[in-house]
Amino acid sequence: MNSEAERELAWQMRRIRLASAARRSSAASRQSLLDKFDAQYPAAARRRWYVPVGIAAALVLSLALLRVPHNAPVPVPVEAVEDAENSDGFIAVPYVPPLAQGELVHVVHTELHPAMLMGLGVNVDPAWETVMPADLLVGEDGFPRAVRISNDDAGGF
Amino acid sequence: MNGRMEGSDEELYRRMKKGDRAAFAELYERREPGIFRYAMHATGSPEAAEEIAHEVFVQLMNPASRFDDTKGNLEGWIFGVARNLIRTHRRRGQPEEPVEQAVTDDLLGNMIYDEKMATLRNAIRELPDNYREAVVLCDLEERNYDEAAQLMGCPIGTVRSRLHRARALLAARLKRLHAGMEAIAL
Repeated sequence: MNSEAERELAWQMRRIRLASAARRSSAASRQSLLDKFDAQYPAAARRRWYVPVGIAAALVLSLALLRVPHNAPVPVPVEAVEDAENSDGFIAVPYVPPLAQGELVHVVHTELHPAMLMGLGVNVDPAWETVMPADLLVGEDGFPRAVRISNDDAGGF
Repeated sequence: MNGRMEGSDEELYRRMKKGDRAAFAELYERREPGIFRYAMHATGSPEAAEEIAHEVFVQLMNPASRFDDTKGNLEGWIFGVARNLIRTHRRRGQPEEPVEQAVTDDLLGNMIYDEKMATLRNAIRELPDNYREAVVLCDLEERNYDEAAQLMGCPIGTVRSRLHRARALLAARLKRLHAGMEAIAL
């Protein structure tokens, strides 16, 4: 190939290169492919809105949980308190107002003097002078509704 | 796209396979223009080039045609798919819209269109596949020999020799055209 032919070829190649440099597929073709991609990976399409919504929901739930105290009251049916002696070892405390339907109660683990236990209706030896571990079922008004000697340290009873 | 994503083609491919739409869009922005031009030079038809480029990316996202990065890079795989589609298109012998006609649709095309360029375009299309591939990648896409060798799946020396022979064929074609035009002028 002589140099003149080389130059001519190189010149024409350059012109073709310039003429085609900016050419590409249409925007419609690109959009069609992206639509196909969304159809191929539907989870990905959903994830575009699902991720931020999911994160927001998780944040709201976390904040709500942080505001709840650790020993949060749990709803206990009144019958459960009334029948406590037969089920969980709780003994109903006499002379206290009854729980309202659906009223929340929580269990407080504490230590009580035998005299205090007797006052709550628990039959203990009056000669015993050591405090005893006990669980109190406390209503929303703060009054104990039931009491039981805790299993944590029942050996001394 | 306003913001371009970082990462290799292969990394984008892995993200795309996990459903990352942006990764797929970035791969398209990177590789579609080259594939389109490659197909256009080979088929002589912008419409066929668009169809081929489209099909390449359809195959890319198809779970059945998994790219294996232990066997080569993604761009080589993409060009391989395009090459097969071009061969299929040429075997079908579909009527082609001349590229020069398409080029005259725009201002730049009008300015640079002439007989020599049209002849050269046709001559490139009529080259044997291997020769045409070397010319398109090295002379029209300005790839270096190493890149062209990777995309063509052959040694650099083979690229050089194919390119040399292809250029000789194209120059001879232009020379004949030049001689013919001189004869007409006389």
